[in-house]
Order: sequence, then structure tokens, then C-alpha cells
Amino acid sequence: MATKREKGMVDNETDTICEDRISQLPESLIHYIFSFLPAIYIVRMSLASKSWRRMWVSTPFLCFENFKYITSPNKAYNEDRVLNFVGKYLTCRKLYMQVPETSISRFKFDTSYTFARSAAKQIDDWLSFVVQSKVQELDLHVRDYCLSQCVLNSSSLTVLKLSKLKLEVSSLSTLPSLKVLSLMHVKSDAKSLRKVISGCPIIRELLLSGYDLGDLDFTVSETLRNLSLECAHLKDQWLNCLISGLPQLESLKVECYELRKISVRSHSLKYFYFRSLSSIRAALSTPNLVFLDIANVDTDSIISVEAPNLIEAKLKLNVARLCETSFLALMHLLSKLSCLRQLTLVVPWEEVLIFPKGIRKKWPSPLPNLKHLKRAGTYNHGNKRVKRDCGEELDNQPNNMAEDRISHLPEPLIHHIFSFLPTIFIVRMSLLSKRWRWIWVSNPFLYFGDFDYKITFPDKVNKRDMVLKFVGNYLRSRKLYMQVPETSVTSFKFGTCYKFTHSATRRMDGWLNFCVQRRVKELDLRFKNYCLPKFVLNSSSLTVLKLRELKLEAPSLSILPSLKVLSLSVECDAKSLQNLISGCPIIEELYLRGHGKRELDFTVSETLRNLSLELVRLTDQWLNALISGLPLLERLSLQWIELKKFSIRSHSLKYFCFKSFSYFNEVAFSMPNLVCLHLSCVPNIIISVEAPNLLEANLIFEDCYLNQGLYLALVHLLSNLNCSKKMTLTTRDERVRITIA
Amino acid sequence: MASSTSGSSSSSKVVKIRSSDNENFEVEEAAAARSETIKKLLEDVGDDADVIPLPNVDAKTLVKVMEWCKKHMDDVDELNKEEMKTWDAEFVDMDQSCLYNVLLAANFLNIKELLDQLTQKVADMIKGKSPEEIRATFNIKNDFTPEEEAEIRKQNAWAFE
Repeated sequence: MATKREKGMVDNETDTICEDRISQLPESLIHYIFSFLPAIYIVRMSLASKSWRRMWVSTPFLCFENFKYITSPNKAYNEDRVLNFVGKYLTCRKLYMQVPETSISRFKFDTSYTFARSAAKQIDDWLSFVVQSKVQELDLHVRDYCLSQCVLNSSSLTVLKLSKLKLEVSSLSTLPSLKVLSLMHVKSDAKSLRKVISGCPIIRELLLSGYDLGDLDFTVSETLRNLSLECAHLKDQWLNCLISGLPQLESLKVECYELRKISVRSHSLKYFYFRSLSSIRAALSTPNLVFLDIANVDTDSIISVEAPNLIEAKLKLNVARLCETSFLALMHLLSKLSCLRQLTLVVPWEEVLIFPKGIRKKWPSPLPNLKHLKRAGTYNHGNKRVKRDCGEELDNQPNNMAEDRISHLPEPLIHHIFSFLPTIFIVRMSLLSKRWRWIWVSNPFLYFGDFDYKITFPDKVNKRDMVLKFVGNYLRSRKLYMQVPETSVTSFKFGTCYKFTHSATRRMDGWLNFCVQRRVKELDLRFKNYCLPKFVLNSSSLTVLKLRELKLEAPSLSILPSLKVLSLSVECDAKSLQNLISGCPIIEELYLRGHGKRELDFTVSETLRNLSLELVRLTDQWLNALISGLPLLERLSLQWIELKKFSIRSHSLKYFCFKSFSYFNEVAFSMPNLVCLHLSCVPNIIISVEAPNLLEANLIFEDCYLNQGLYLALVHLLSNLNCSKKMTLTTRDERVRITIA
Repeated sequence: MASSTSGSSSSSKVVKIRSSDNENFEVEEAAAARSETIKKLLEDVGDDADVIPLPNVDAKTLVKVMEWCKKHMDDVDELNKEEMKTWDAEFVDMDQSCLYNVLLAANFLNIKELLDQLTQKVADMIKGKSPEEIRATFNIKNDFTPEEEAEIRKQNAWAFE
């Protein structure tokens, strides 16, 4: 044969091409080739020629996967076809088992089908057959199949790989030859796992991955060399103990988000991979470590490495906060890694690696031996997104991505953007570049709230004081810079859920005084038990005043000549309210929410367009009078108000919202220009609506008992709303719906 | 391009506008009038207006702005609010260069609601980020020396601690 081949090479190659060389290969080689093929192809090969006829019954590597030739996407019996095929094949194998030298050394069954429970018995039988024929490698990927006990007592098994199975073990297993155990997304529990693993006296590789393994708690033979744990539940201490008890461990991979503090001490360890998603403390004492790969830990992680023989390291850092300790920790870590042949650092942006001046003065560079620096670009979610969003357009304007457009926006637009941001972010933006250096002192919108501090001062215990300190400092700086013309304060928003002491309310008075002097237009305050100072109620510039949770006392008439919007959810007596509201000659919007125990009694300017009353006490008569005195009223909302019998007439009203849960009411609405109606009530209120121009009605009826009269009232109501273009009806009770039908 | 913004309802009045790169668009008047600037121009020139030139807005941006105006032509009724919200959220989710173009156009054309939506979007991009992250997001070049930066941090320590 060798001569033939030489000849072919010399002469022309057509001879060699036409020759059937494969059939002449030694059988062991053919089986080796077969080991890469699913069994179905091997069976089909029996048709090729006589020499192939019986090859399939002696091949030792059985691989059942990729069933696309025996299944079809549209048919329902695919599961049965798969089972049928494997079953038939194995039955034939059993028949030919008498032939010596036919053994099964590897069995792989990998399918994405989920089988009925009855199929489990069948699979049990197959496994029992392959175990009897001394199978060495088992690789099973069958969803929810509970592994047969016989497999766990196989003396021949050296490799066991399970994926997606269930593993429930009652008695200790014996796997005297097992060297590799891999469990991927297997459903199991700590006990079963312990029983399996402790039954493997010479195990070398253990790979566990998945979230259904319970709390890991097992001991493993000292022979282990390769350990990989990607699990949800790992305990720091257990892991540390486990590793120190493995004198031959060479490769360790850990991926877990629960770990906080680990210490790895191992003389044998050469490769270490670690994945986390948080800030971690890790101490590595690994004199023979060659390769280190740490990813997704926060920059403020403290990682100490003692690994004098390290050759290559990869570090991928997430940025949490940059503070002195995090820089120091990073510096320390880098200095330990200074002698490497190759160090790969992946950071979200380069600034992470620019150490602050203070640190640079005190410490030498952590990487003095650095000879070559290769920048490979940063990973940046923002840019990635831009790329994806732009699609083709990006090609035409390649410079756009790197361009800084925001810094060139006109100042009013930047202030507009800032009006949506808590002030703390704006101050912090002074660090961005020279352009942004002073914008915070001219920003007209001031906005302080608790919530932002929770983000920005996560570790500070006393957030209450932080809030005060920040606002105080900010306003002091603003006062300093107020000489700059054109810096005014347009709005001041302050919201806190903390209760403050008396001294704090004094400071608040000072801040408000400052704002009012700067002719503030909008005030939005939420401050428990704080009593609003009088000068606020006489501010001539104020157009919007929103107050929540504080106290309002107005013993004398207030003067708010520019006020257009007033929103109150405060403690306040009827007299003070009257004094406040009647001091607003051009008010357009008034929102009142639950206050005091006395009934409302005030008059309001005719300019009002929008009125909302919620959870307040009032008399029917007063309300009727109030509304009929408002010729411009367009929007009215009455919610959760106790009323017995009342009627509303308004020619101007366009939007009306009425919510009530009270019983025995009788209400009549006459609103010729109404466009949109929202009613939410129990239908045993007798409601009559006159709204010929209605376009939309949204009705919500609560559960209730209906008598004859109410039925009629309801039918009448609905027929009155018949003209609306759009009607949404929500009921909680079948009976009401029947009426309507 | 122009056809996409015209021809939905034949009865409504159509106005012609011209972008900075000399492309003409026909837009329903009700949509174009969402822009206070265009509305004022229309009032000034009256019915015999030929084409309204918009020297500050290029065609690509104008298409985007008019898409918004068309959607917001009528006052939103109470019930469609949710649907509109999602539409708006998708609308402002554009790449940065486009975002600024539309932002500047909305400013020039004086469309308050659109301006609010866009500035809110930029604010959301800033929110919760550290200065370093903001620089990266917006490609702002740090032109401070490390000393200057440390100085600012010190000066405003109350905001950075």
C-alpha cells in the first residue's frame, strides 16, 4: 500500500482518489472515527458495503444525540421515536453481545426532549445494560430524569457527566474507578451530593455548576486535582477548609456571588479562576500559582496575592466607588503582580487606574518593571449601545461617537437638563472638565431629596445629618458666588422623610430666606413637622408652592400676587387656609389633600382652572357655591369626600373625576361642555349626568347590592352617556354587568 | 422622506417647510403648529405662505421632529396616556448625536413638551453615575490636571465624601 501511495503521488492523483481507503482502515481506527458520530449514522453506514454490515454492532462508543434524522419538527411523537430508536439499537446490541470483543465503553444520551414518566423505566433498563457491559464513560443530558441507582455503584465507570438530571441518592454510592464527575444544572440536594462524592476514592476532576445543588457541604478525596464550582450557595469557611484539605489541587475555578471573604492556601495550586459580582476580600497564599484570572470584582475589593511564581494574570474590575482605600488596595495588588510576564487589566474606563495625587506622592509606581503597555480599548456599555442603535448610519459619521456634544449645548439647555437632576449630581459634575467647573453655582434649579443620598452615601450611618450638611454647604457656596450676575434661584425643592430637631428647622428658615430673596419662583417642600415661616407666604415672585407634611399657620392674610399653583397636603386649620388662598389673586390650580378636622370654608379667585379636593371635609352647600363661582374651571377632581346630596353645575368644566365609596348619595352633574368623565363609585349612588358633548367616559363600579330603583338609575345614567365616543366600563360584580347587558 | 409625513388625511391643511439642506417637506398644519416658532411664522405670513425655511434644522433631524409632532398633533386623551408614554419612551431612545440634534431643534422650534422629554432623557443618562462614568458616557475630555481635580474635590468635599 505504501508503494501505491508513492506512485500515486508521483503519477497522477486520480488513482488514489478513486480508491476506497477507508474500508481498509483497521477496525479500531474506524471505531475511533465512529466515536465522533451519532449512532444513527453508524447504523445507516451498514448499508455502505459488506465490510460495514456489522460494524455498528461492535462499536464501543455509543452516542445518541442530534435526533433530527428520526424526528420531524411538526410531529407529536418525536419523544417516542427517540426512545424507540435507542431502545431498538440497544436490544440488537444485547443480541450480539455474545460476540467477544464487543463492549460498550462509552454511552452518551443527549436530548432536549422531556420524556413522560413512564420512559424513566426504559432509560433505567438501558443504563443497567450499559453498566453491566462495563461502561467507562457515561454522559447523560436528559431533563428531569432521575438517575438510576445502578449507575452510582458501577465499578467500571471512570467518567460520569450529568446535565439537567435529577440526582436523589438514598444510600452511599460506590464508584471506585471514577476520575471525573461533572454535574451541570443537576437538581439535587446537599445530602445526595455528599453521598455521591464521598463514594469516589480516586476522583481527579470535580465540576459542579448550577443553582439547584443546595448548600454545598461535602468532603472530597485528597486525589482531586481539578475543582470547578459555579454555584449559588457557597460558604466562605467551608470553601477555605475544602481547599486546604486538597494537597494535589492544581486548578481551581470558583464562580459565586455569595462569597465575601475567601482565603486560598495551597502549595499545589497552579491555576486559579475567580468570578464574583461584588466587593470581596481574598487572600491567596499560593507559592506555585502560575496563572491567575479574577473577573467582575469591584474595585474596592481587597485582594492580597502571595504568588512568587506567577507568570500571567488577568484582572477585570467593576467600578463601585473610588476611594483612597480602594486605590491603595489596587495599588498593593498591582505591586504584587509587578514581576509577571503578562498582566491583563480590564477596567470600565481608564480613570480607575489614575491614582490620586496623595497616593502617588506616598507610594512608588506599582509596576516599575513595565516595559510594554498595550491598550486594548475599554469595555463601555454606553458606547456599545450607541453602536448598536446607530446601525448603518454610523459608517457615515465615524467621528460622532467620540464627539463630546453635551459640553457644547447652550447654557439654558444644560440648566433645563439639570432641572431634572438632584443637585448633588450637579455639584459632582464640576469634576468633569473645565466647561463644567462652575455650572453648579449658576444652576437655577435646586433639588434636594433623601432618596439621592441613599444612592450617593450608601455607607453613611447618619444620613439625616448628611442631608443637612450638604444643603447647608451648597447654599453657603451659592451665596458666595451670588455676586456673579445672572445666577438666580428659580426653584427650590427639598424633600425628606426624616424628622429634624429644632436647630435644623432654624437652618431651613435660613435657606428659605435666601431663596425668597433670590426671587424663587417654585417651592416644593416636604418636611415633617416643619412650620413654614411667614415670609414665604408673602413672596411676590412665587408662582408655584407645593407643601407636604409640614405645618402651615397663617394668622394674617398672605400676599402671593404671582402664585398660580398651590398644592397642599399639610396640617392646617380652616382659618389659615382661608388666609392663604384668598391671598392668591391669579391662582389657576389648587390641590388640597386631607387636612384638619374642620370643614373647608374659603373663597378662591375666579381665575381658577383646575381644582382637586381629596380626603377633605366639606358641606354640600359650600361646594355647590364654590364651583358655581368659578367661571373658568376646566378640571375638577373630587376624591374620597363624604357627601350626602349635591349637584354641580358648570359651563366651563371639561374634565371631571369623581371617586367615592360612600353609600346613600344622590348626585347630579350638569356640565354641558364636559369632554371626559371618570367615575369610580358604588352604583347605589344615584347619579344623574347631563353632558351632551361628552367624548369619553370611564366608569368603575364597585361590588354592591342593587335594588329596583338603583337599577333604573343606572340604566338611566348609561343611556345619558350614550353619546360618548369612547366608554370604558369596569365592574366587580356580575349582577351589575347583567343589568347593563 | 417627505411622503412619510404627508397624505394621511386629505382634508387637513398642509404647510411646506424647508430644512437647512434645502429639502422640502409637506406637513399637516396641526402637526407643524406644535412648534411655537412655526406657529408664529404661519400667523405672521398668513395664508399665502410659500415655504417656511428652517435654517437651523437639517432634513434628518426635521423628519424626526415632525414624526413626534404628528404623533402629538391632538391633545392626548386621558385613556391613551399609557400608550403615548411608551411611544415617547421609544422615541427618545436614540443615539447621542441624533439626540442632541433633535434637542437643539426642539429648542429652536420651541416645542416645550418635546424639549422636556429630551432633556429628561439626558438627565436620566447622567443620574446615578460617577463623574468618571459621565465622562465616558458623553465623551467629555478631562482637561484638569490631577492637581486641579484634587483641588476641586477638596473644595467641594461635602459633595464627594
